[in-house]
Amino acid sequence: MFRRHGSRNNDAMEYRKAYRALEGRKIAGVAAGLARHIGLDVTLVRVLFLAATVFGSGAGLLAYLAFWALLPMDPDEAATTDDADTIADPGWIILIGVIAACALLALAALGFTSLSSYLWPVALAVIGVALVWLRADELQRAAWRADAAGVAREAVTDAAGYSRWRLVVGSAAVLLAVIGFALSSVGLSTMLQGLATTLLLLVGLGLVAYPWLHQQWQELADERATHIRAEERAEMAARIHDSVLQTLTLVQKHADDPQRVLQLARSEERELRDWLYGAGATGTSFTAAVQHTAHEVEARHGVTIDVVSVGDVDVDSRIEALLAATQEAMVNAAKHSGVASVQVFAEVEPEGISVFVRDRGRGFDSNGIAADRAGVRESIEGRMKRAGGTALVRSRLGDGTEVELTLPKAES
Amino acid sequence: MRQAKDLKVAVIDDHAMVRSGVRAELQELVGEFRDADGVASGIRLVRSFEPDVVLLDIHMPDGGGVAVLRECQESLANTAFLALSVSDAADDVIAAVRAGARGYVTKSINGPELLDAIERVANGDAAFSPRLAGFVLDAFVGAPAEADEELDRLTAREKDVMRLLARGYTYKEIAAELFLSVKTIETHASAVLRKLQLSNRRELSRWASHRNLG
Repeated sequence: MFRRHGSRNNDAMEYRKAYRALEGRKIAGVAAGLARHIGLDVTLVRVLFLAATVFGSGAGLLAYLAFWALLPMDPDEAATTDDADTIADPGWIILIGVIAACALLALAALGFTSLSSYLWPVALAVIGVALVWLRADELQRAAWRADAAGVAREAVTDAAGYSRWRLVVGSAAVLLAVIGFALSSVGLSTMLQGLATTLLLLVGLGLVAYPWLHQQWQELADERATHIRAEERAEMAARIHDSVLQTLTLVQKHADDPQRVLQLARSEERELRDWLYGAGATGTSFTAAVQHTAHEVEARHGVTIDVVSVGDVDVDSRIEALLAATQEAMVNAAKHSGVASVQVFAEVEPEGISVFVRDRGRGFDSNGIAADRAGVRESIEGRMKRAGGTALVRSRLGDGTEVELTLPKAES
Repeated sequence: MRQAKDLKVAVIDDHAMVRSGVRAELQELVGEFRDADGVASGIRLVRSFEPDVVLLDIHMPDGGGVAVLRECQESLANTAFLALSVSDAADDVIAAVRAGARGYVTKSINGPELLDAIERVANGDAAFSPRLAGFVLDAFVGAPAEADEELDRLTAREKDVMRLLARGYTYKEIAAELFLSVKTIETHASAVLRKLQLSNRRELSRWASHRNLG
């Protein structure tokens, strides 16, 4: 593109792109944009385009259309300019049309050029193209503004119904122009033949290109999805960072309360670890439920519960009973063992589920019938029995406790 | 049976607090202690210091613990690597073991257990955390795809040992539970480690490939 020594505060070479101007435009901003980029007066550029059209058999018009297609609008400018300043001025278009028509008529009268029957189809085509492309520009700008405002693009562009009539009228104009052009040059029957041939060609081309087109479409959709996922992940990351910041602040505040600090650290560690390395255990899975239960007991009783799990299964009513029994066992270990660490192992096999809740605490004499413990044990054992499973509590004084819960697969 | 106080121990971790923490816990209890703060310095340390046991952090820049293991393959005969990590994710654990680590412990492990794990790998055995035992059981579940390949399945006894390890039992407690000697339990654990390192089980290759090991 064009290079220019920085006219701003830096001496570095500035690499500027040419854009279509949005402010000060009359139709599509081609003249204004080029004028701004090259440094000429905008009226001079417009006169040049006009002259090239009239005297160059339409070359100016072609060049204008080409620039319109190739030069992009400046997204930054689009986000900041107000629409009211930049709506294409219809009066101007009419003025140009009249000037061009007069000039052509004058030249024809003087014998420098001949009016051809192609004139009105071409004019119609140009108007149609302008209408459609203007609409595309507006849609683009609306999309950019939506992005800048953080709103979904679809919401803005659909809601405004962005002059759909322009699309319809413009396309109709182009279609009429093409038909008119064909009629005036080759006649109706040939045109119909031509139409049939073209349709056949399009169908053939479509069949050939379909797989490639489909793949492109698919890739686009995939990229979109990846982009959305990445954005979601970034949002979650921001949330996690915030949460960690909060925890660290709280830890500093409560530095003299070791129990509190331990709990804060443990809970934040678990959250961060889940996010960074979390396995994909879904909400309804047994493993996820066990972990969730462990986290709750951890938070409420200030112990550390390590969960190791093998296999997974969806939770049903029997398994819910197993989960309740597991929770009780965890709470018992937290309250009665006297130690701060509990180990849980859950194994899901085809034959059934086994859960082991272990602590290395003070234990109790499970063979004796200690009054206060009997009730507790019965609760766990009763639950498991009602669900069709078993509970086994093994403990030795001074040697810790292990609760073994087994739930065989349901008889079908 | 080598004791901790006769051992040369090295720590390779990019976090200064971890290095100083481990140093504080172990320096008095082992023979010699050195540390390094990255992959390149770690490899140099292993080659020059020739430690008996290396505590190796998995997550470091420039390839992490697995890169160190790959570069130090020739030292594996005399140096036991014990992988150390915060993450607990299957990818990391399995990748480390398949690259030659003899065990895996999390950074939240307490002093006595760490010492025990160090002694264990120094004596040629495997150090299994409950989570690693869980991963093993996960990976070797069901019948292997190919025909009867000894490396791809666990024996019933090995499964029992792994289950008890996952439940948090120590080797001594497992020995008592299964009415076997501690030596037998150690043998079973080492056999499982070897299978973990060499088996072609799909889950293991998948986890390892996540870390670009293949």
